Amino acid sequence: MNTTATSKARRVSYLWRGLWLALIFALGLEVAARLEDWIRYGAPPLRNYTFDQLFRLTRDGPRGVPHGHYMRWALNSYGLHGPEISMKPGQVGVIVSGASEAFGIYEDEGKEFPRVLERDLNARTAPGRFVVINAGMPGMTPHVSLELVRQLRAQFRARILEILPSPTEYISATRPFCSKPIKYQPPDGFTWPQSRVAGKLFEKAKAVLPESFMTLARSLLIDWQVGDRAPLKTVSAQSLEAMAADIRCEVQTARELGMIPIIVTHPNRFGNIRHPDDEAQLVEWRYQYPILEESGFVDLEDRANTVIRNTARAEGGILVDADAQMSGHSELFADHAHYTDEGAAVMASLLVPAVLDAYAQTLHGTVTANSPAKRP
Amino acid sequence: MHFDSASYLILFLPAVALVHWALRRLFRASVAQTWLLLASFAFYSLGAAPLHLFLLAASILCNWSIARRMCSCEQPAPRRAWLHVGLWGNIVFLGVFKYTAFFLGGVYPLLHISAPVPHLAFPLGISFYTLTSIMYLVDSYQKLNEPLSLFDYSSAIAFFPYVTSGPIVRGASIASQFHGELQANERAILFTAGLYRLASGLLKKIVLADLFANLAQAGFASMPRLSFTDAWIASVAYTLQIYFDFSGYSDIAVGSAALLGIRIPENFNWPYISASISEFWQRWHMSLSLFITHYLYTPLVRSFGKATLRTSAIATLLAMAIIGLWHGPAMTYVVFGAMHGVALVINQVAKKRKIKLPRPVGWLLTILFVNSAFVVFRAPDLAAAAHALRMMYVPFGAGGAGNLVHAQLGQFLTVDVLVRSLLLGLPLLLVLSWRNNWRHAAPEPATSAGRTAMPFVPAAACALLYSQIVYCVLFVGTTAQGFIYTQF
Repeated sequence: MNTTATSKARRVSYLWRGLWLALIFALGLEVAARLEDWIRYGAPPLRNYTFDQLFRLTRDGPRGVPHGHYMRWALNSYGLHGPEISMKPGQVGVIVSGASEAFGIYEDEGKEFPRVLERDLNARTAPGRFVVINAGMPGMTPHVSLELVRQLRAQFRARILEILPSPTEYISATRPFCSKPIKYQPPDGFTWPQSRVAGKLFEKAKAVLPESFMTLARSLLIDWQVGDRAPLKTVSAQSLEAMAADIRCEVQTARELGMIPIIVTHPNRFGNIRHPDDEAQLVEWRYQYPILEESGFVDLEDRANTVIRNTARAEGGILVDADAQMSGHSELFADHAHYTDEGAAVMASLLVPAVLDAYAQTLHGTVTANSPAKRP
Repeated sequence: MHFDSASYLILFLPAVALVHWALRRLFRASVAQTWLLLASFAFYSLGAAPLHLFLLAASILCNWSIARRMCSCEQPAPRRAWLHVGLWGNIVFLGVFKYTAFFLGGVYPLLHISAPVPHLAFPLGISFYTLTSIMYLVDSYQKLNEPLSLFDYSSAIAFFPYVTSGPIVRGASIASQFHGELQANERAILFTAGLYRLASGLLKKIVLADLFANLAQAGFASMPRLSFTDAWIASVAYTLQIYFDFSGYSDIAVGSAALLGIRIPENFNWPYISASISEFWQRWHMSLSLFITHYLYTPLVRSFGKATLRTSAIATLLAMAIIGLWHGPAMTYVVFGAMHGVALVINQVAKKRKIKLPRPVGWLLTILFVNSAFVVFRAPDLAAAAHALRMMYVPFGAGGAGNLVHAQLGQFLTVDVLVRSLLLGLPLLLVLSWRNNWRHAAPEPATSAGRTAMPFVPAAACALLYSQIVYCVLFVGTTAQGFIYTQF
């Protein structure tokens, strides 16, 4: 009896010791992760450090944090991705509005397409002639974007607005964002501390584990998130009409502000060319929007780009059909729709003639507030 | 599988150690030993071609059989005959795989033969396990150890921590540890020391050796353009690189073995503080030095009959030239060995004549010589070595612009290096300070079960240290530069 009790006590003691050592091991990893982030990126060792901290909620919607930085991403004093903006007389401002594709996720710093566009434009014209302002922000919706454009236009007198709609924002939309007020929910005062090493482990696992395993894991999570709800096979016509209304709204607003709008179709890696990893990429895309079935994304892109083309033509705006030029070329995309360095360079090269076209219109005075621009 | 890779440090070694200790606890020691033997062959086969695994197995079987026959003979003549068979067998085995191309490459032009020189693939670790086998044969001949069973012998020769790059061990001393019982506190101290050595070895390799490797690589790659300063920087960088690389490797080997409850010999003991070349060889690659002294130099002196200064000098020169050649089929290695041989002879003469230099002067001369010899060791050929030495010792000779430091300084201290040094260095310092306390601490009292409890501080320190090792190899990464001595 006594021996059994001693043996049990010893086992409990071993268990506690094992847990204690596991805790020290885990804490050691966490401290190492924080130390590395601090040395490498200047990250605060004692606070959370995530991509989201580049942005904050304001009464005008989400905005970049002035001088915010996270890993390799650095924002300027206006909270925009890119270098400090200084507009001198005679310089031409080009605002690039859009979501994460414009902000730049996978490109090396300085190789996101707005930066390449600025370099290409100045190389084609005169050094310092164009200043491209990257107003892209992940998850940006048109009504929030337009508010930012208004402020930037007032400050920098930009003359050209590049509009890159993001079709996935309309998956469950029932009415245009332009008709919605910007909601402001003050953030909670307390945020739970997040493990940095867990995030790094997850990223490592993604890189190391076979793609098939990751796809299976994502599929299971998608099923779990969808639950009893019936997934959408396709996005409704009403949603795409909302998108068309928003593009019209953006074009209208640009013109009201005295800017020439350039409308760009949304390129993606799928197009008409099939790739071996298409299915895995679609599952990864769906993981962000579980309610839409995988086939629905390709369908949405096709229909949304048709809507963009038709609306651009109807509004008499300058259209850049990036979808026709880039979609299907998987080497241009790091995932479903975000660009590689090469993709960003191609996108910039497609935009250059359109911006020069728009610039020519501003020089000839063919654009005025409240009047549609004419194509030369 | 490199010793500094995530697959070794996070998967292979922990898995082998965990299963090994579980088997030792649950079954007999021989079951755990079988597991280690299988793990050793698995480790070897992950880094070598299947044929090379077969060669290792064949070498083990042949040497064991010869030693067994030798031990079974009581008469000196057949014993000696079997020893010669074994020694020559090993020399031919090493020679065929390592020196065929070198030898034929020199002989063919002399005989005007235009046939292509055959290049045999170099079996991983052949230089090391062949020396270990020779040691076993000689020890068996001299009846210094009891004959081992094939199981023990193969476990000792193929043991993964040293099979590819040493330390060179006496098989019998390792074999006895496979079935020796360890006290719990002894096991704990060995385990802690093992992790400590693992971390310090990793620090030496992925921080210091790889740091100096960049500079040395740049210097030796642009040899004709080197200036006086550049030549010195490159040579010192290589001297530091080879020490940190090889002693880092040896630390990981000693640490890996300790995690499995096995003590293997040390290979380094601060060699660059030596004040004479003989002291240097007592501190540098100590297991090889032991081999040179006991298995090359001493038999050579004996073969000359009377031990005089002259015979000793000849034996030293021969032994060192052989060891130079052992490093690889190149004249630079032979000259490296011969240089050390000459220096050792001068050292012997000085000792005989009772010439004693002040320690700082002795240190300076030794380190200058060691550094110069490593230039020959590292140089692609003798002409390049001569050029580099000329640049170092003739400061006003023709040299390049001397921009190596400026060109490489940016790569010298990268953020990765800083992160690795902090992550591994800080806990090591912490453990070091704790270790000083443990060393003087009395053994813990045995519990009622007759075992001692694992001391809290070492276990916690182990967990902390291992977390930093895991983080470093997993997230910060290593530079993927192989260990220098795996090519020998």
